[in-house]
Amino acid sequence: MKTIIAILIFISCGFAVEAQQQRLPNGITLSPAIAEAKIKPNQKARGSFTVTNGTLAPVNVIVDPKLAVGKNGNIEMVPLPFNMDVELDSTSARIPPQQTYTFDFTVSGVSQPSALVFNVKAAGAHANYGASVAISIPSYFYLCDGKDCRNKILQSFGVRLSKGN
Amino acid sequence: MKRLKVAALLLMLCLFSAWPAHAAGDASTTVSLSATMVSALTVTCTPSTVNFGASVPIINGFVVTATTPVVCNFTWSTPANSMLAAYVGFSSNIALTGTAGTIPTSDFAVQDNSGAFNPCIGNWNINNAIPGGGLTQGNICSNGGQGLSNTFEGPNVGSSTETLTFQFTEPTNLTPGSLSGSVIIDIAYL
Repeated sequence: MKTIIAILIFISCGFAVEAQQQRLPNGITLSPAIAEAKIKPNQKARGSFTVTNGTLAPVNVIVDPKLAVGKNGNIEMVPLPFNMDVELDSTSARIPPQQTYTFDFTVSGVSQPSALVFNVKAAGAHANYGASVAISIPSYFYLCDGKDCRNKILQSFGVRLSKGN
Repeated sequence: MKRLKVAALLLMLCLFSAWPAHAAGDASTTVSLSATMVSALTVTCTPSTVNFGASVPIINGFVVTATTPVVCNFTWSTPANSMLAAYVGFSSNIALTGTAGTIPTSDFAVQDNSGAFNPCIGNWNINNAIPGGGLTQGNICSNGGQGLSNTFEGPNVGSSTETLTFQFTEPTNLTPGSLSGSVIIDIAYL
């Protein structure tokens, strides 16, 4: 009898934990979202971005580096060109509640103004009869050897940005 | 004495010619990127899963609505001339799949706040900032490619709350079993 009661308590607690996990939020803060930095042609540089888990549950994040390219206002995310080398210290992390994780990277082979993008995706909890809610935020690093880097790159993409928009 | 001066001169020339090898611009030297823009973006969605209930009748054309909506809060601080938009959608044309069968994105729809339910067969606006988190064209749950209704295009510092209600229409071949997938909330900006 005691064994049956113990099993019932174990099962009910298990369901309660699952239900509680599914009610928890999925959320991250990414910084910087947009950055511009000077880099000379063929220079090797290091940078970083941070992901903060402001929720009360651990968050699993994965990072996917891409290059944003554009022409006539049409933007694409493409794989990094073979001449550009981006080394991330980690491409994934499990961030504890209320903690910040710093992703460090080095970049080299930037031969022209480039928009380096780190897509940061936080996965949601699994559901047997439903869908997890994943969140994806990009961190843009506009890289070139000069001033007003971001505006110049976006202009070369054919994107027109107006002040206050 | 003259030879000594020449030798000293040559030595100095060698030293100075070697110095620029470690100056900025050489791949052997790693410098720190000095970012000149302060920006951050926070997205929180509650809950982290969309549930459709464990037992729903299996009837062709039956509309199954999620047990609770997902509320997403967005807070951003970006350069003054930023364009921001939030998209919800899928990475392929399959929204849910499992032992019960498959729900294509054409049978899956999302209501943003009090708007209409939009089937997840849309595209993002090609002239706008693009999402990079794995969403694919033709599988965006929005109308006209403009992202969610409270679009972020506007002030560079602000916040927005979107209440998302999910539903799908049962196709003909559904059987009892499991169904799961991943809805992606993707923030796009430049």
